[in-house]
Amino acid sequence: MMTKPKVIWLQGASCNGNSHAFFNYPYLKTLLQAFDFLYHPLLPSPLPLASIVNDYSITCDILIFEGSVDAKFNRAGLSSDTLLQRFDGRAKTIIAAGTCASFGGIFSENDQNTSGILYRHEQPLNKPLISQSDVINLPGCPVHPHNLATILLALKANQPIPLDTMHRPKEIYAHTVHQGCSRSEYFEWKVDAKSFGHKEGCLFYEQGCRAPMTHGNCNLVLWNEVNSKPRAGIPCFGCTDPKFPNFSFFHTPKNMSIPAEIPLDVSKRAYLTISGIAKTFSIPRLKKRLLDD
Amino acid sequence: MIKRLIEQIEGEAILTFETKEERITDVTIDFPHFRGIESILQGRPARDALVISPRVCGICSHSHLMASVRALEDLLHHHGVHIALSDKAKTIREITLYCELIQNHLKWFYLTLAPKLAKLTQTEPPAYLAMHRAVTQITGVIATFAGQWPHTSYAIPGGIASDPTPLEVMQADTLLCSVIDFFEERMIQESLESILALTHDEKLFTLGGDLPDMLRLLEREGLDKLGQSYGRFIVLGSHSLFSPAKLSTEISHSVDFNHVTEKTTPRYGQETFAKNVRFNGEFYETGPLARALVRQEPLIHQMFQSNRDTISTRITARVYEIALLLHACRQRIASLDLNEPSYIEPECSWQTLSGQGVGIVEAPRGSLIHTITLEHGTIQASQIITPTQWNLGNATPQEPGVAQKAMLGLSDTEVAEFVFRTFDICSICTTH
Repeated sequence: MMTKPKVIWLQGASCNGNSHAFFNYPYLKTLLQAFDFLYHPLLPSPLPLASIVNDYSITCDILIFEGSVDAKFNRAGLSSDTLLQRFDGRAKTIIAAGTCASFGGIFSENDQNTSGILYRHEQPLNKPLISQSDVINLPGCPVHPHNLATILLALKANQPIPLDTMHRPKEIYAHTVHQGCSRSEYFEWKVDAKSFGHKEGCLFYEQGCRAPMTHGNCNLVLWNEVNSKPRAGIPCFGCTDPKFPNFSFFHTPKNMSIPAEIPLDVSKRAYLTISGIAKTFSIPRLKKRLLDD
Repeated sequence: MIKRLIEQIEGEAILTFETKEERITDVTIDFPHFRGIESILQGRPARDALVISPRVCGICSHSHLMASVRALEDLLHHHGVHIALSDKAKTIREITLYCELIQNHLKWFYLTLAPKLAKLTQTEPPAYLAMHRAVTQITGVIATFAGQWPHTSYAIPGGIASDPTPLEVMQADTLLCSVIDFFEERMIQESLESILALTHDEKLFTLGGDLPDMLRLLEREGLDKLGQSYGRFIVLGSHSLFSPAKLSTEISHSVDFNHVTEKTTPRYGQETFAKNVRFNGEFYETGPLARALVRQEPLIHQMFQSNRDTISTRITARVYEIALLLHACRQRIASLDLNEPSYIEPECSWQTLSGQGVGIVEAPRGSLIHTITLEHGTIQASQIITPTQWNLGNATPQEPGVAQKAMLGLSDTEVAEFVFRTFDICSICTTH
């Protein structure tokens, strides 16, 4: 019988959003049975937080860390950076759950010294907080529960998890959020959403959608099993991006009426050529409301 | 002096008890986790509040979104910009907010309260995995309309950004029905209609389910009549189910927001960042018990008459509110006219707006207030007053805050911690 990997979930400066997102995972029971969860901030746990903080002999196979790392921020009386570093080399793998733990996120905005585990925004830390354990970054504000759950299960199965240069699993973050969007046909034919509150039209041209510039799989693995923000009509805010939240929200910045940022790795010339051609065609099906006759 | 670290709440809190002759004479509530969301908002464009503010808190992100969108709409209104919300947008905002309250109350009962009571009484807590399924379904209702939960930004000045179709609404209704099934099978074994028609707790005690079981256990252990505080209540948010009112000796519907004051008590300034909040200089309890009492819900009114604001009344009020909200959500889903617009664009230029707006909503734990000040479209200042500041703010032993008062005089600090938990603790919101 396979032994159950021990898991501890700790937090730095956080909103608990990753913990609550994780609680939405539909197969939580199966997941909890596959692991020995020593501590989770929401779930009844065999160990109190004070034991983990004070008892140096307690360790785990996988540490999940949520929130940005802030030396001024204590958990059970111990600063979050010291608490995290105690597991360096003692936990085999450390998962940064969410954008704060990966890149600093929203809570690093107030203080230059607050960061993710290996990065502050896109800059690697001069002194990374973890140097001996493997670190897997799972950015997202919050982290998608399916991504976290499947990575945990892959670790348990000793499955290789290829990472990109920013320590993100390629299988998740090689995609852009744009892939799988129910509005992608409108993007192809350059039909913009006329306004918020419509099922029709692409949110990239006016409403500030960052899906084509953002690494993630929100439109491939749906949120709460039913939806995604862009599908519903809310622009992607780039919440998995190292630079989040420093973007223009709800509004697309433009230069000479061309979006200032264009899809990842697409040259401006290619974008302008394709857009120019697509715009010369008017496709009646994409111009009308979906449910109109 | 006895210090207790309170965890498995939202964040953590430290209770420091002073005792004399085996009675608690003073208790300090410390919340160590300040993150400074208000200053993160400074210097950003107005609508960034809709993306940043939800990140105050993972369990009530939606309530923070709603408070921010109301603050921006209030600001536009003062600027002479007409805000026309369609009934559809208003109703969908209500449905998703109510669903957030429901998920909160479910988690509070099974994760915050029940395990602690089980430990205290050396009994088995009710299993939480059935509740987990109900939570995934109720957050699925929110996501159907709002894209995802937590941390969506679908409510925008002028309406909502989504455009649900009839089949999507049907899907949301099915999820809601499944949560109602859970509630009727597990929490109170009776139909929603009959639960909402209850007028006396005698009948509640005869029913099966995890709430009646908890109430019987509390009674058996002699814990049911603990935790009484001032018996003063306040509701500040306006919704289809709730309207501003306060109750001290009688219910008054004239509540002037200008009488709300927020301040730090210097005595506790060392560790805590929580500021206490008063109305007209006095402490008031906010949240589900306050909402049920000013709505004059017969069951909760009777329990308050019999047991005052003890923990049995406070716990019942919160579970009862789940029934009330589930029922309201179904009615509202049935009433939606999807032909109405989701969003009517306000005629304004965001870059030029200056002024101040206040947005107040009823969040899971009570009244939540966001105040946003803009100068030429940029956020100059933001003030957030959270429900937990009303209930959990520190004051002096002579004039304790609401939760402090509820714990004074108890002999056992473990029991005091349970009383504290009945208020539904969010350390994260309190300090923000």
